Amino acid sequence: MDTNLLAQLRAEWFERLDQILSRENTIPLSNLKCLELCEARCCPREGMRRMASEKIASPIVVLLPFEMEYLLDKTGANPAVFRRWPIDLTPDLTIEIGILDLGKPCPFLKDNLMCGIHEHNPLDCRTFPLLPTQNFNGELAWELGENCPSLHLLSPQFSEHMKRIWRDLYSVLPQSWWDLYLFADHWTGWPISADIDHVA
Amino acid sequence: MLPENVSPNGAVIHEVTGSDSSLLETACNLFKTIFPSEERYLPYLRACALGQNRSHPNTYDHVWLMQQNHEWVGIRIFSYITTRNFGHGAYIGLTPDFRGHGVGTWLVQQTLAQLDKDAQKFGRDASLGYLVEVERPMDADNEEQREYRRKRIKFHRQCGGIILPVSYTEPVMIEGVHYLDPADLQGEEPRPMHLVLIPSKLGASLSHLDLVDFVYGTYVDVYRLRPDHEFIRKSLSFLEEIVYDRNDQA
Repeated sequence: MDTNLLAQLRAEWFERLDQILSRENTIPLSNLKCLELCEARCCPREGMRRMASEKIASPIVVLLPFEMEYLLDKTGANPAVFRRWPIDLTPDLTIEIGILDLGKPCPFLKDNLMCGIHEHNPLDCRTFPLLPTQNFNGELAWELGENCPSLHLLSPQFSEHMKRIWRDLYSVLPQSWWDLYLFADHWTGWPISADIDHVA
Repeated sequence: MLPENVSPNGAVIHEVTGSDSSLLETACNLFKTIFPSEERYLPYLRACALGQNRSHPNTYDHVWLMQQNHEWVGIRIFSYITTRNFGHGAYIGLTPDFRGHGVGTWLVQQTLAQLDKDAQKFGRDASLGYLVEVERPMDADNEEQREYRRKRIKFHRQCGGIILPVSYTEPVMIEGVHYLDPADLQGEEPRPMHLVLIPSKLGASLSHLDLVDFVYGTYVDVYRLRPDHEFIRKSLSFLEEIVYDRNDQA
């Protein structure tokens, strides 16, 4: 594995994430009534496995390349709080993507359902209820998290701002990251022991 | 009986069944034409034409030929994995003049319908779909090849395909088959691939796809690798604790 290339990529992504977060002050208000209406439907947390599907928006948070390392660096969190999913950037270079899932619920979600790292929270969280996706032609496309309780209030200015961030990132996001991100729509997280019933 | 054996533009599916089928040689000749670099795998086609074969104890195999205006224009080889509830698509190929007219998509739909019938034959309500191995653009030798592979992936995604984000290495051949000598495949090497699920209606409706089931079904039940084979460990290493739990229970 090329450690120099890895270090370079890491530095580039840290810089991008710094830039995204530095825009924080100018992000238009989303108008979402998170505090009033939100039940943290998009935050993987304890007890979610037993919830009805309409009460869940997303049981998985997929971080950007090196966003896990960035969060660890900024928050001092324990590395063990993240799942790690390997993706190939090239035939010879693999990196790990940080994931939060129902088996390792979001460690930053507080008891009052507020985010404990709002200043640095992942772009996947920050973008919700907008859902970036990739169409058949390999272009960035958008869907909406239909079961966000305040989706109808979503500000167009906020949407455009977030879409611009993703457009800027799109050319540097590896296809293997998109493969993982798109798959996450069909995955509720790491298996739990109770699911283990069909071994080879 | 095939699911819907006439395509919208008039091509007809014929199933090749049995070693004495009058269509078997036609299928072999068309296979050589469409997949010239795969000729060494002709014994696999012949074995699949038997439907059930002692070298493929966990699969129920199909070989289809497509005919239009008295010409043979396509071939399809796939299997239902009887020990799981999904299939494995080995080959889908059309003659050049017949490509790009939606026939491939229709053939995928017919494959899914057949797998549903197979699932019922083996006591299940419906199949989850089938897995197919697709070459990765990142491994291409040149831009032309890379673009061709991107188009293949686009085709599968347009058919509803979901790329399973696991490291997957396609074995050279099913282990221990009686109809091929390893020497016949000398020079062939395992290749990194995308493992893509083409889901049926049932598969597409699931909120959780079981990666372990798909990986074991392909490697162990189709290719007959040992459960502790390095390819399997590599595919599922990030689920390590669970995989080893499963092996402990086996």
